[in-house]
Amino acid sequence: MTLSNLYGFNLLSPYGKVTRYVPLEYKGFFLHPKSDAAPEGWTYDPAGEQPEKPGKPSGDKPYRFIGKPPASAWSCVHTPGDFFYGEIDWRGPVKDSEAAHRGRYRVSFHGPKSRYFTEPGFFYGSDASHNNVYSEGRCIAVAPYPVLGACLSEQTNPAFTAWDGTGPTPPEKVWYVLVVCTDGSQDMVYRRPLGGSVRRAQYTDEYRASAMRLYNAESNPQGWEVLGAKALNTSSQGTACEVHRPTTPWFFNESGTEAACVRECSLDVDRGALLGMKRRSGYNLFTVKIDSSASFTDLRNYAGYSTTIDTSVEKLPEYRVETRYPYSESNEPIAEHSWDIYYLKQKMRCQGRYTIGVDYVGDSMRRIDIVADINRYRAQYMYIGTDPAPHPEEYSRNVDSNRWDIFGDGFNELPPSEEETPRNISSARVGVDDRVYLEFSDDTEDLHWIYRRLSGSRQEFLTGVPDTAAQYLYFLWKLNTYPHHLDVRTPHLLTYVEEVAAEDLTLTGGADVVLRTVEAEQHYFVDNGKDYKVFMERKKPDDNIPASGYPLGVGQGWLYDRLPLPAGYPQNPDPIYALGTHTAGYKDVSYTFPDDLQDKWPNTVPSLLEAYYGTYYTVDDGLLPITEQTQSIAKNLRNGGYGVDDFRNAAVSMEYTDHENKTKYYNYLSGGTLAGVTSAYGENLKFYSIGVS
Amino acid sequence: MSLPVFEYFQEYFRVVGTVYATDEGLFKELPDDLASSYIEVEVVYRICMANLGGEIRVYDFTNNPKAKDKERKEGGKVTIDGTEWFTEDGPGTTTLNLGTKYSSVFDEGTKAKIDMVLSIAKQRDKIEP
Repeated sequence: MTLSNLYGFNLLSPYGKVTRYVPLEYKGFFLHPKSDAAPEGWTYDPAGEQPEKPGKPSGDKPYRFIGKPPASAWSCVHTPGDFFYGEIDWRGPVKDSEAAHRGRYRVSFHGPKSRYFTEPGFFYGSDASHNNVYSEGRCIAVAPYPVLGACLSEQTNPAFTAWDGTGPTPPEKVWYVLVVCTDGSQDMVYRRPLGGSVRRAQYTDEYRASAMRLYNAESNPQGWEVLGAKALNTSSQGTACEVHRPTTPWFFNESGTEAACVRECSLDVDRGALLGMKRRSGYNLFTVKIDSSASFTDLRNYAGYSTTIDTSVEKLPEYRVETRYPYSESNEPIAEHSWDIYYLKQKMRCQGRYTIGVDYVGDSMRRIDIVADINRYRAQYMYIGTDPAPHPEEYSRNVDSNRWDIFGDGFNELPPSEEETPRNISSARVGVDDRVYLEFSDDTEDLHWIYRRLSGSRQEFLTGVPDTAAQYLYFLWKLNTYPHHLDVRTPHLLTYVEEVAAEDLTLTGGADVVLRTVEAEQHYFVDNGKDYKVFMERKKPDDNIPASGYPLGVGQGWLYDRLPLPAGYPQNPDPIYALGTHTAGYKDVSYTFPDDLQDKWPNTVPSLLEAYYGTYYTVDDGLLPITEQTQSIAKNLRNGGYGVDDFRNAAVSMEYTDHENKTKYYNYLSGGTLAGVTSAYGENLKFYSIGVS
Repeated sequence: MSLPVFEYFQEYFRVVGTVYATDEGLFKELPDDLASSYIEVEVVYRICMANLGGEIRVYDFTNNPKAKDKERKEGGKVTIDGTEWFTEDGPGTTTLNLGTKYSSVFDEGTKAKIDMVLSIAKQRDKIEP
């Protein structure tokens, strides 16, 4: 970088001297502004206010750099040439504690745009640039293998340690570039002294070949030095372990002394007599501590989610119906039917946490956990006919003039239900309160839902406060979110949201159910009022479900806090059944999951109903697998750029589909706008990719 | 024929200030929103030469280019080691602090002699501060 337009530098005293040269410190974001009018991107035309198409004298590589120093507005810096930047950044210590505006040491490298989650189409090593490490828009290092994580670290200078007192004293500390790489079979830690950097125009094959060379005390003392290597495994957790190839980065702490990663893996786990040996896929947490050498540690993961299912069955008094046809003056019944009736109550509780990502805030490791606290109640009547062979006339009741005992003589009463079948179960009464959320920071005020199910009022869903006075259920039964980008350091979160609400499920049933479906794009930034900003909402036409049907597997919704149903519940006076006092059986089942992240979460559990039907009792509406929500490849969601700089400014540019199914772009700068970049020049302005410096 | 008087002067001290040369000009304090590379320059405002005989020469460079402060304003006091020397014209009020940097070429005895001569010179020629 050269100084331009320098005036007044005709210093008069003849003895002045230059003591230091400081290149421009880029503190902010490198952008790539594009629009329909300039699809290849803009370049800077000093003569015009408007951004120009490529091909202008300032170069064919479009660029802009924007920054927002503390207490100042966004500003744009135009510099000829092109910058290097990666999708993943490391945030180091502050450069100067007395000059906050100088920000922090920072490097970036390539990785999935969502930061912690696998990105479809991104493979380490698929591009030569994956070996690069960048800082301030320049390439500061080219590693021997694709870089999974990088940082700068001030370490003891070996030359100082080995100094024998002759000659000038070597510096005690030296800045190194530390990287974790993958060679395809193992993870390797390298370091090389920090020094020299190039811009894109200077990034030649010769430079690359030279920069990748390994350390040699004689011929290349500035080369890459191996500090440690390990083929990661999780053999401590099971057998036949297989750690998958890396798809997400290693993240370093602020001091550059430790790094951590979460790696997908699969292994065989013995789940006991009930489930046997299971091939399980999951995530495993590893760390590496680095000083003059690197030592890897397998931190495993939490046990997962523990599910407990309590089932109780009470035997009720036998139900008996006598029939005669069509009617008779005799009091003798011509047919007698009876049913054994059981009242089944089942409670499922699923609790636990599972680490799916990791990062550092300062020097403190911060796990990204999916926490589950799932509570489901189900109440149901079961009945089985135990009567003797029915009288042939019993089947002729369609013409029975006394059907359902319209004469009130005690004959031909209403059987329990669906009278043509000798054994059946009634519709289930279901109470649901599923809470599955991301937990990653000290921000305890907001829950970042991954998954939510609730039978309750909308108020309860929004506020968490039950509304026991609600006469009607607003059974908001489904909320799924799919994160596009997450940065737990700030935190910063962009999500795609699917929400389906089933409205007006009356306690007594019988009314039509209205399903309301909304899809939305939401942006959460902790410095933006700790609130979700909705920038796209797509409402779909209401779907009317007749009273005879129920929404997608959920039987009839009940307020969660009113289950299990007491006998003769005043708002649901059951004209037929009364609870008895006999307990026919009781069974507990307990096991843990996920057994496989690719599977649905468990929706079948063994129960007493096996005795009747030989089938498994189903807990309605199985949970979505973790991978589908955090690594969804079906949503086409991760096209964009994201970043938060040293001063907690955020820049986002993201592609999404609007309510008319048109492709739109969401551009956001926290704390103000920058007209030169954020005002549209042509349609569909976007400024990704984005790199942080 | 006699030889001319031979005077071998060496630097005794210099009074310097640090300024930064940027794309926007000279600064004594860098603005927080500076978007430029810069070079840090040690500018000499006074230099004092001396010889072993205790003779001194003092050169002032008080018309160095003015440097701007964080607010991009020129002007303000100029001090040497905290003592006010003069005031530059301009709307700014930020002080430019100069410091004295002694060389290490003279021994203690010579330095005492030079300091005594310098104090006399300051009184006689009204050298400030």
